[in-house]
Amino acid sequence: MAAPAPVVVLLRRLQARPGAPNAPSSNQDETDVLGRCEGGALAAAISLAARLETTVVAIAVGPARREDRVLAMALRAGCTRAVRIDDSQLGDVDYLGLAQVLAAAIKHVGARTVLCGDRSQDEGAGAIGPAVAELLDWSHLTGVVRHAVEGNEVVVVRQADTAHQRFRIPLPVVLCVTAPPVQGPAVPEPERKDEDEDAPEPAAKRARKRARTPVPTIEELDLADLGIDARAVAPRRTSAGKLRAVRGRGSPMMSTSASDLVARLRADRLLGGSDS
Amino acid sequence: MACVLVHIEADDDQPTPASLAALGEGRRVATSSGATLYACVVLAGELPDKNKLGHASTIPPFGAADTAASANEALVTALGVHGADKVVFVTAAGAVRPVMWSTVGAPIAAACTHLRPALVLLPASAGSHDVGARLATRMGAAYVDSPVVEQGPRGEIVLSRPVYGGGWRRRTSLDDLDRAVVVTLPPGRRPARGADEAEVLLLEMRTPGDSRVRLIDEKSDDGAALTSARVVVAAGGGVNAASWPMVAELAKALGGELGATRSLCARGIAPPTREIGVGARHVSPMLYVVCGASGSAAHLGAVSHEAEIVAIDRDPDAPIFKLASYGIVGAIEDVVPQLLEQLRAEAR
Repeated sequence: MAAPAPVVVLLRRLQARPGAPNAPSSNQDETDVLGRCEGGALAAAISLAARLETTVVAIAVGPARREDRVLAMALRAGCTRAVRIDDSQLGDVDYLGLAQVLAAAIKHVGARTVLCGDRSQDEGAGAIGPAVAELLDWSHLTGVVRHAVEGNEVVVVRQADTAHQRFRIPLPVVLCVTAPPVQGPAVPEPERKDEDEDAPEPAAKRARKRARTPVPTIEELDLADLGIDARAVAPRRTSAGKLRAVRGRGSPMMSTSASDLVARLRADRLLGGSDS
Repeated sequence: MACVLVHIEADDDQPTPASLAALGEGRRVATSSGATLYACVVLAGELPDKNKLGHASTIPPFGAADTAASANEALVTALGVHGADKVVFVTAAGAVRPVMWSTVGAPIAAACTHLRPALVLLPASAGSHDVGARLATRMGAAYVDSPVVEQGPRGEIVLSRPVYGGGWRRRTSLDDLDRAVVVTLPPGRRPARGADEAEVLLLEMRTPGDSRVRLIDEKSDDGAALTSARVVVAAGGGVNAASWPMVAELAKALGGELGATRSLCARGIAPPTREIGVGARHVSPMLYVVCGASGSAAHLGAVSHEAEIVAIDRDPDAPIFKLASYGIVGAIEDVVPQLLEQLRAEAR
């Protein structure tokens, strides 16, 4: 019997400014390396793969110095395979050029479920997931806040403008995941005396088991491995737009008192229509 | 530029405010570039036989879509008044609600294939976020999310959007492109006023959506009011359980909505439905009052760059003051009650 198709998660390291990967604020805290939505996608991919009883492949496009940290983090989090696509021939290619590369990589690993962040924190366009879905001719859904597996389908909750909508979608599918739900303050769990054999392993036990397991290496592919002609993607650079640094807004108008602040806001017609 | 197309989302036969704002932006671009402005409405189901106008390859002449126009008279009138030159009704084979790629994407794409617009504008909505990039991919077009639409020095249309936490802008001049552009507009654009009644066209496409995506149910969202609020007061990590009610009171006094950063929601002080940030709610108020938040990219990346930011923080070196238009240094517990007192005094 063939192994079930893996789940793919598309990752990208957060950048503080163009070409400058964000550094984690400490060795223990890597939350600044992945954006919120990418972090949500990674967690969702691992959980979805566990329910589908399959593996997770993390895919990133970019140079090793930028993306290997993200991929190593994904492997530590539970991904079974990490693939980085060298982008030396891609340069400042636009969303569609990048999506062409990612769609080819997804076909290469044979996945039927793809998760990615709904929006990155740096560029923030949220274009990659829908573009990849179009190129693969799969269904897609943006704004995914929760997911579950029922049979051969996924049931997902999407945040729309005024409502949370629940959908049922068969595989293959691309899910664009928002930030993971906020967890409230931790509540101590009561001690369990009779461990259920089928119950999931405690997190600490899973972490110890992972620590004993050798970490797989990061595979590197180039465009030729994916059957992509770099010349076909290169013209997409013109539509990526040009980056310009902007000057700050300048110093704010500082008020020394509440009455002064209210007066300034009223003078600038920013207060009104209130019950004040 | 020959043609600008704006997708119109409608509620109860009236275009949504975001759609009218997108139409207004389209009107301004079309006027400056001499283009025809099409308002594109996707209708569910099929029309009566006598109104079927053949395949999409034959756009009917003016007046041939009488029934479509009369059945949607209020909508057509509103679109004409707000700047549309032509209203295009596109029929879909399935449901057209909720607005998302699987329902309206294929009919819009079919209309674009037929009309070949150089610029497609989508209103600020979750539905457009779902549709925009996929539509652009199908068209082989460029895609720009939430830009400001400006005129460049030569009069050309420039799409400019903040990236990397607002420290950079990505600018795309339409003159530099050899392909069409799909734009999902940010909230807060102004509607325009049209001079004439719009001509009505009907494209009988019968394009099926993606029936694989099936809506099971939907529940209203308590945080939805944040999205359209003109005034938002946001509480950050500098707010505690004692000062949270004061900030809530300030939001009420300003006639605004109350939001919070992720850290405050994680501490259980603010409800998760009120979280503002990348990956949570995006807001586009005129006035954004930030109480005790540093102003991280993850937070302010979800706030429209056109919002006037008022920063209240005890730390005069807090990064939020570099991004704010107005500021006051002080503890939340001191400043917010003083603001409330001032607002109440002026109301008396």
